[in-house]
Amino acid sequence: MVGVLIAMKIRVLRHSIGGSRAAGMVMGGLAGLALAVGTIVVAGIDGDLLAAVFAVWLFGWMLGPVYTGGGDESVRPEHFSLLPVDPRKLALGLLGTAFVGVPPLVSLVAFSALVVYAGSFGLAGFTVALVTVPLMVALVVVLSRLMIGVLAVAVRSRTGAVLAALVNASMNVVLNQSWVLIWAAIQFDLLSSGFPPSFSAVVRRLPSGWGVAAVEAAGRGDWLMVAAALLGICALIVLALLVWSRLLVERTTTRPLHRVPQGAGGDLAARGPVGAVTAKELRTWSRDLMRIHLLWFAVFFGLLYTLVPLIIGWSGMLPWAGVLVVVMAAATSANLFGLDGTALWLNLVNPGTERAEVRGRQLAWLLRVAPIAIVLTVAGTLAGGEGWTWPWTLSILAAVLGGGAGLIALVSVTMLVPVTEPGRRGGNPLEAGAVFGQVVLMLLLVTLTALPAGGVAYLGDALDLPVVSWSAVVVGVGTGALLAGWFGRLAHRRLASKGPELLSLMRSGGTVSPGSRDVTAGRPRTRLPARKQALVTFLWIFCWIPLFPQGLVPLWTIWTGGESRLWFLALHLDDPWRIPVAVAFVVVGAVMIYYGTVIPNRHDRAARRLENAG
Amino acid sequence: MAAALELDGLGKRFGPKIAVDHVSLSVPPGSFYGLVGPNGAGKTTSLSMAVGLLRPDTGHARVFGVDVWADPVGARARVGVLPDGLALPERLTGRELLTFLGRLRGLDRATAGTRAGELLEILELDQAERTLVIDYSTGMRKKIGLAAAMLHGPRLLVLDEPFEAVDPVSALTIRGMLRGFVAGGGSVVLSSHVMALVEQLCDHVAVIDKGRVAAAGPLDEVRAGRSLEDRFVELVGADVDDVKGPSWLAS
Repeated sequence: MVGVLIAMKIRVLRHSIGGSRAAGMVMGGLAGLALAVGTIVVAGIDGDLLAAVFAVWLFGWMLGPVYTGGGDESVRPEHFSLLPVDPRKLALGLLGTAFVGVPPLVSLVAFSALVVYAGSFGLAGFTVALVTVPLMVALVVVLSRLMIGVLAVAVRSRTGAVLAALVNASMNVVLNQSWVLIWAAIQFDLLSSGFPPSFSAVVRRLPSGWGVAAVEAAGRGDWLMVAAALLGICALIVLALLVWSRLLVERTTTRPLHRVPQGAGGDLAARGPVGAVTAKELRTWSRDLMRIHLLWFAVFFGLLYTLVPLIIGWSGMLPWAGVLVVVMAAATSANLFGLDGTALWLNLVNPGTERAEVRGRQLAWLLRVAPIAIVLTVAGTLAGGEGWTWPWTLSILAAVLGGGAGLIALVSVTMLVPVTEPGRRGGNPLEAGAVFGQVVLMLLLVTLTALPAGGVAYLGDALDLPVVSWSAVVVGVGTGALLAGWFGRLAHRRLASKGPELLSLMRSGGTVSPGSRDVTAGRPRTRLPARKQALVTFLWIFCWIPLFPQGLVPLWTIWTGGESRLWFLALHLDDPWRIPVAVAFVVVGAVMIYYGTVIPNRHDRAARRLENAG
Repeated sequence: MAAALELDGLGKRFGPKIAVDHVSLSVPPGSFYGLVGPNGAGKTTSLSMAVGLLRPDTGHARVFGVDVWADPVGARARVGVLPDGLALPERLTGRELLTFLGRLRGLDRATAGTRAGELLEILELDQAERTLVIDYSTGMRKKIGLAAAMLHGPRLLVLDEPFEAVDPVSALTIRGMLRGFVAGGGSVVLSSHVMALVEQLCDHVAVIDKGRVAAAGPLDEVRAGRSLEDRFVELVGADVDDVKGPSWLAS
């Protein structure tokens, strides 16, 4: 059973790996390996830190599938719903397939840090570590599967979709803040002075720390504790497996119920084609579970992200909740056309409706996002802002609302990501496709649209002229309207000229025919050679590190006169160098994005010329 | 002898809508059973509940006396199913798919391989050796689903719209296969919208309308001396004499 399923998965993987995916796999594997080696290094430093890093690995496994769009679903339980197999046995078999792939291997390397750590606990500790390492890998994999299973069943209703969004957003925020926490820990010399005892206790009480606890107990000769820790891990694995097999049955024998909620925007439909599209889109936003999930994810993300610093008594992020919601909502909505799948044929058979389609979608997105964002911004600024914050938040909010509305239209028709057809989705909003790159790109681009408004607001503060500060709001509204209009126009022109290509891209999903290296019809671009593809993937994955955390964020901190340095290199330098270094990082990031875009474009054009010539 | 397939008071409600309202049917062994009904009458929902793909709110389903929901493993081993809109591992070729499914059904490697090859050849899918299931046409998907249903040699086949989108030549092949299967003692339950086809193939028929069984039994009993189509229209209470096209379309 397990053997056949694994063979099946390997075959599926072999058929789906094209040049870019292979490159992505190699890049991801190398990045993971670097982290795993880092974990081994940590094992030589400190037990507390190792337990904490293991906790991050566990979190990563549970969150990873959410980031990558539903996790690995190459072999799905639905495919076996007709087989005479006991669900527990099937769950075990599917779990077996979960161990095939790069991430479990990388995790095996990471958790073998435990063996290194056991070096100082004698032969007993070493032996216990050898037993524990595979158990830990099994634990993270099975918990990750369970997480997907819970989400996949939970998100089948509207309430479930909203709750799943809350869970996802919380985990994302925790992970985002944990970066800051780790770097803050290094900054405050926790490594040499040691962690507080409560911290040691907490990280060892998490399941991820049970292995560390077992090894230490073996070193002390406390065999009762060793047995308790190891049996605890085994029990957790078995329990997770049992629950998961229940969920598999649930998933294959019930059907999500599509309720028809109160129609929104009914009277809009009467107002011409744009109104009709807007009404259709508003309804889709409130009825499509995936869209409900994506929208609420953005709302919770913005809210929680700015609320978490309240723990350390800092309310300075509150005014930005609305802006964060807009930026995140734009990032998750950038596959707007992809989410509807092949429904695009409706536009193809109705030429001339492209403008209404794009404008209506933009308008509906604004109607959904803007009210929430405005309320959050006003409330947040009242609670956590000061007089001078108002022009900043209002101008940037206006700029990103317009910029976001423009960009979602443009990006969704230029960088479409094929997604499972809405009709075949089974209600799981995690099947959002491989949109990670798109989300990262959108976060960047939307932020860039705020630059003019932010610049004017800064000028106002620098010159201490309220008139200039407040004119930033006008600039924000202006650039917002301009970008929404301009990008929207580019989008509907592209939709009109490239409609058939987009449709075939959605249908094909970019598969690779077995035995041939050719990609089936519908790929708008020619494929890059593997080495160039690896370079482009590298540029896209890492460009945002210099641009955001090492560039724009330190610049922002310098402008606002913040004190914390964290891991921002520029802030550790002395004054004439702080701004140039941060700006240099921004430039490096921008250059990386430029080449990430230009290399495939040049290759594409060269290939077309060759084709035309030949 | 137990019925090949027995639906006993099956009921399912989706929110406020009652999709299936206590449907009871008995498919005798060795019969060719047709299930007909208007769109949305509950045919697919009933069949899904009968083969263990959708949990019923009320009632039971039995395959050769084995309760589908009490002993799903035993029941599934005895039936071959072609569901409507089926999920398949899209990134496998037809041969790979059948071989793997055969192995999962407990066939040994050689048998799985032989059966897969045979089915592909009969259904004329062996031409598409290098095509992934995701790139199959609708008709090819139907055929590969049918092959998957027959792979383990069940005594009962439950097929939801097996002829939909299948080309005429393949349809003839499939009909031949199914006839041979029934002649050899197997039982077939199929749903269809094509009355002529049901009339030609089936010896038993059930008419389902608005989630209930409107009529069921041997074909001749149900049609009561008329054509199945006329009888069907009468049973579901449609008024076909007065049907008009939209006024603006003809002129």
